[in-house]
Amino acid sequence: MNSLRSQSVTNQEFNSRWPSIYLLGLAQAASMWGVAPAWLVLSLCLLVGVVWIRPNGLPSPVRFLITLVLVFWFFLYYRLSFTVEVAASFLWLSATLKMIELKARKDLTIFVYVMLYVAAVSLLFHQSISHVLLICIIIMLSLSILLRMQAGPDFRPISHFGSLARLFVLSIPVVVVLFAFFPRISPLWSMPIKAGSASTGISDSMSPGDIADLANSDERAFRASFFGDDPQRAELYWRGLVLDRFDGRRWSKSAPAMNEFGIRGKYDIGSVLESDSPYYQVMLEPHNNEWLFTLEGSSSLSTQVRASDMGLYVMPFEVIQAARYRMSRKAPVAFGDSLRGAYKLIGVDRQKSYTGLDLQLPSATNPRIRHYVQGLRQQYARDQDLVAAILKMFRTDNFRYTLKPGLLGTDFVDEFIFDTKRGFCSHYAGSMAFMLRLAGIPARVVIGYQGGEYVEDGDYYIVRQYDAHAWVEAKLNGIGWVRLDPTASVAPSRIEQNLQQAVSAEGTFLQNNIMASLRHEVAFLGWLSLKTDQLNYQWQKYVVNYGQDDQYGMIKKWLGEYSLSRVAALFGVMFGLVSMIILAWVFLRIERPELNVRQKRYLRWLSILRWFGYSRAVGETPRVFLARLNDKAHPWLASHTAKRTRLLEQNEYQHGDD
Amino acid sequence: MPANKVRESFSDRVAGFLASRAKRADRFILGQHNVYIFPTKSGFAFLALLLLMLVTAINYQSSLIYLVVFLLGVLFFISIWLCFLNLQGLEVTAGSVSKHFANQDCQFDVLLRHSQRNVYGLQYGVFKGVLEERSLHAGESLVVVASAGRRARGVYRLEKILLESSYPFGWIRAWTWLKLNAESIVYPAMHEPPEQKVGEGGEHSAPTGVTSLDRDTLRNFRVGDTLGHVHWKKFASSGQLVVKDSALVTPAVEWLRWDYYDGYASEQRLSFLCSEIVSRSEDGVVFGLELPGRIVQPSIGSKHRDSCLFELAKYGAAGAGPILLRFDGRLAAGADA
Repeated sequence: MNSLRSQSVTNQEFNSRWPSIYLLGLAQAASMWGVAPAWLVLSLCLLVGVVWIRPNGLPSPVRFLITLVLVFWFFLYYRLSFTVEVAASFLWLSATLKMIELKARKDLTIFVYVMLYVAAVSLLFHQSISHVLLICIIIMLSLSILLRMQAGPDFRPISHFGSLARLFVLSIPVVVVLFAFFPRISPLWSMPIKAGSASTGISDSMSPGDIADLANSDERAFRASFFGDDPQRAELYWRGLVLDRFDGRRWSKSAPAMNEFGIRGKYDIGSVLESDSPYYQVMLEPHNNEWLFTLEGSSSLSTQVRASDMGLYVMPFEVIQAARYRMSRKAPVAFGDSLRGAYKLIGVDRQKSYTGLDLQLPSATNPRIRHYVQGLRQQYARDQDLVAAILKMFRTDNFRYTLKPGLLGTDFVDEFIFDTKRGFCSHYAGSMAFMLRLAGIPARVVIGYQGGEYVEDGDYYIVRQYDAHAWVEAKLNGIGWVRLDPTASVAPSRIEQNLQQAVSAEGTFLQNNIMASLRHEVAFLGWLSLKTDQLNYQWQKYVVNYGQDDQYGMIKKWLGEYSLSRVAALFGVMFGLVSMIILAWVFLRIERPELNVRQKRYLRWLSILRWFGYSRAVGETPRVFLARLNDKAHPWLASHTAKRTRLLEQNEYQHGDD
Repeated sequence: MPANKVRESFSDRVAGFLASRAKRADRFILGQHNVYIFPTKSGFAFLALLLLMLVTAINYQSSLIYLVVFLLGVLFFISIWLCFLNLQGLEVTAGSVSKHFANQDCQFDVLLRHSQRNVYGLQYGVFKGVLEERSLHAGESLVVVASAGRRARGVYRLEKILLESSYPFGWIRAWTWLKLNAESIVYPAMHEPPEQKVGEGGEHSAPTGVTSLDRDTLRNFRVGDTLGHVHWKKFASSGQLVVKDSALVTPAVEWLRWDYYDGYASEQRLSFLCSEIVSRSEDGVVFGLELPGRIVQPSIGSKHRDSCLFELAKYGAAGAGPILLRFDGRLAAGADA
């Protein structure tokens, strides 16, 4: 049939300078912010802008050159790595370049389709409500372009956007039902995921100044809500990574630990299990790594969460979208006065016999501290006494907790302990673990987050990047693994309250981040930011992380049992209903004559009379009907009918007055 | 061969079904009984896109991509309805029969109108290759004039016309084939006859060439005078409506006869007669027409002229029915269904 379409129609001249095309290009660039590199986003924005303002400003050799340079630069930048974001970025790049060369309707259709796909893929990287609104705008623009191609020169932007918006609203109920009940399938095959760009957050190594950088960011790391458990703030040590290799300056993961869990699985977030014991649920922001943050003494209640070594947990893939997991937990026990600040840990032993790794030392550096620790060891035979002595040193020896520790040289521990005495958690944890190892006590640095902001209304904690923390775990002779936090000895307010309190004296909290510090200092902005976070939390909980188990519950609740036939029946009924609504909407709108108030009132009164058993016969005039009522009906009904009839007749036959 | 027979009877039934759905009429209102609907190439491409998105959503477990897929999917579903409703209620009427001479373009008039809604992106075609696209506002009448090019004399009728629309998004195409009674009559081309041969009509006979102006008397126009007698040149120069009175005084009956042009080919004769009819009619002469086996009684006026020309147009045609012009512009082989 399509062959009958003549050339004259399909190749009909269309104006490729519709504003919506350029707006689509710009909106798409905005949606790719953070997915594609910034230089690409900015240069494509610029290109779209230039072509919009001066459509003929770029002669075709220049266009060709621009295309060549951008594509070449693109490949140079990504070096042939193949991941989703590279694929999406490339699609987007080529579609945008095509945009400046649109010639036929077909080109425009392909352009729109590619843009729709890129918009969908960008949802893998951003899931906030605002991004979804942006995607809605992109979809609206895309559809308006398609619509405009069909409506031709009679396209009227405002009324067509209006009808598109109406279409959106009309489809929302169906979309909601489909979303809730459409069977969620496990991934069909494994896809390349590794996101090239690093995101803010802790990394798998720690130099002295590293964590202090994070203190400048109030970006969310994750949210956590507790069930059947009410933890103290000081208990909230979120373990992320164990750093067990020290080169004299930098702590990192030792090689075996790094490669152990290199198995890549499908991107399956899986489901969470119900539990009677207290548990907590974490909504992790995407950080492009596989590690998870868990409290001490946790065990997994999620199908996809895997236990790694040393009581750590990982996902079998890099987390590129918000991920949810659930863990049950047994709080660690404090030692009390026998060893203040130490907590006994269970389940943090190494699974393999790499215990020697916890004693590894760098070759001769930091001579002063080596000498000092030798002295301590001779003084204290018992491990716990030695630990207490080190903690006491931190507490009493004029150490200061600061975000501006100053630069340190190669023998950083020596300089820190004996000279500057000013440091952030990474200085304290790194030095203490080193000192313990020098004393022959197996020790390591743990990095993760400590604390979190409790949101009263939503009953959950927000853990932000500035809550990043480093502390020490040591295996004491005769006691086992304990958690030691030298920072708590230096600045107890960091643990009991938060970083802001701990550094309030020097005023360095979020110093280099104007927006974030505004949010913390202006009460209204802080309130607004918390409210927005709550909204986003609900959004993530009910929409972004809606998974198989939620669906299972939903189907059981609404359809009685989980069966495919019931779901299919539901869809059938729904589509029938939608069709009927559309038909009714269209036909009723046309057939119904415009009535004024009196006519409407009269008809309404007739329908009330029908309840009493009096209905006007077909062809019976209001006056005849009234006469009939006068004979039979209750006087009150009759008199009211008389009034309505009189008003109606005035309306129909009397000229001019009201 | 039972299998063959089954197939034959099946295709017969399909043809019968289609024929029953497409009856010939002067006026159609589009509705579910005559509109067909199917996805376009672009619509299938869009479905493939949705499938790709769905696979992405599944493999990355992305709820939000699911959401986009569902939204677009529902819009696709709704667009089926919108596409149909765009055409639904459109009135298609055959325009008045248009009349031409064989050396002019043969044209057909079709009227499109929707009283209640706007119709967007309507593509209509009377002949393949000249599909046109337009939107139609509610209540607006659109007269489509389609030209079939130069045609030999005869009475022509359109086999069917095509109306389609891919509104709103180009994913779905709704179309209809209508067997509309749009007709066009092509008279023979006019040729001046070599010599003035006009038959003697008994006692009413009169010499030819009655139109020399010097013999005419002019008088003022009165209600009831035929427009053919108005002296237009005078009107143009002076603004006065006057009529040429001479022809009215002694109405002469002339006979235009096939037999007068012995020795000429029949098409030639028809051309001569055609020219004569037109000039007689212009002069306001009462005339009759005699063709082999067909006589038109003497009369006067444009209606009479048209019926005479009509006789010439269909002279010698075997069947009584009009000639069908197919959608591709060629003549249909069979008779009208």
